[in-house]
Amino acid sequence: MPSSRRSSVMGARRAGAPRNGSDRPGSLVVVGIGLMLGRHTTTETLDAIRGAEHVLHLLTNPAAEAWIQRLNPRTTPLGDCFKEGKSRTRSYAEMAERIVDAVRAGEQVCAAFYGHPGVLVSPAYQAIVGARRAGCQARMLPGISAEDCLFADLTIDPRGLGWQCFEASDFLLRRRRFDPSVALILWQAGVLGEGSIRPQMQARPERVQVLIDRLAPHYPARHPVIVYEASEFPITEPMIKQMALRRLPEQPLYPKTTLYVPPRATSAQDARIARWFTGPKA
Amino acid sequence: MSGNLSHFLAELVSNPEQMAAYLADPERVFDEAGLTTDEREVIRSRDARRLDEVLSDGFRLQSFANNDVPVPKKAPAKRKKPAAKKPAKKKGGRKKGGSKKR
Repeated sequence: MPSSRRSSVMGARRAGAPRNGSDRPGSLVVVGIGLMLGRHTTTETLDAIRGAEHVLHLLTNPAAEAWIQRLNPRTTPLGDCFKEGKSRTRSYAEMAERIVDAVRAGEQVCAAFYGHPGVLVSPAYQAIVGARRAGCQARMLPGISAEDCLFADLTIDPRGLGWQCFEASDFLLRRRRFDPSVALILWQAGVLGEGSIRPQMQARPERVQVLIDRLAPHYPARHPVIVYEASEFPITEPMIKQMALRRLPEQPLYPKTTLYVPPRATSAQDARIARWFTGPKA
Repeated sequence: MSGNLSHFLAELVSNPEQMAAYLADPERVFDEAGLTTDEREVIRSRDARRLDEVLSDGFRLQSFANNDVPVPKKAPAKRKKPAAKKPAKKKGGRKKGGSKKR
């Protein structure tokens, strides 16, 4: 092993030594509680929350915070890392830093997010990388994502034609190529191009219009779009609103809103491949 | 307003007996929990958006989007080229092509 590599690993081990006087090094498990409170959380995740010495969490509402506090009273919310006008990138880095600090201090930490912790949750990844760099064990448990809920609530089986999904701002900014004959899912449409947060946040209609201008040429004139939000409580319904794509700027889009654009009809097939699949006639 | 409602919802999803009682007779469970008229109304509506607004009343600023929104990278500032010194014009300047050599 080259000396530089060896010293880096050993350095990481030293860094992983607990600062709380205990012999046991800190560890991290990152979990997602799913979308619907108290209904989507796997037993594996419940065990991780209950068994942690310290739970740091970023959840969507105070009812979810009250719920997690019942599971484990040693909780710390991370939502105060957000501030109006402050870069979200900075807020997420701070969250990850707080999580890693607790791990480095020798605590058995559970970091809880809503949905799936590995889908569009940048502080979860940053925290895992940070904890591992500190020489501590870190892992992620799967959770029910908004996409899982979307397939169930819209009763869509993407198996046949496939599907493609993009973060909405990234989709515009990088002019992502997409295939309109395949279902299209756009995440975080309600924070289109927003680097920070503000109260009662909604997508700016002029930005939604830019998104429509990008999509509309690829679809028929009255092609629909579905505005979707998963239900967060067993006593509420999911929001499912279908409208013509061109009318989307009239609809408020919130940070939790997802857009689903159904595929454009197509019958195009590669005749050569089709013949090959069917094989020579007997 | 959201504090009591939050605990009501947390209890509802944590306690199957409470959920069964709610499904059987929601008004009685509302009374027992001491929910306000507005809180009862929003639960009866089953409207997730309205419930979200009521719950978030007074709640900290929350993004609800967990991932960075990519922001355009700023183009590196262009260095200003030092302006070429123009020869000072003399009054009654020379005519084109009329270079004077000494």
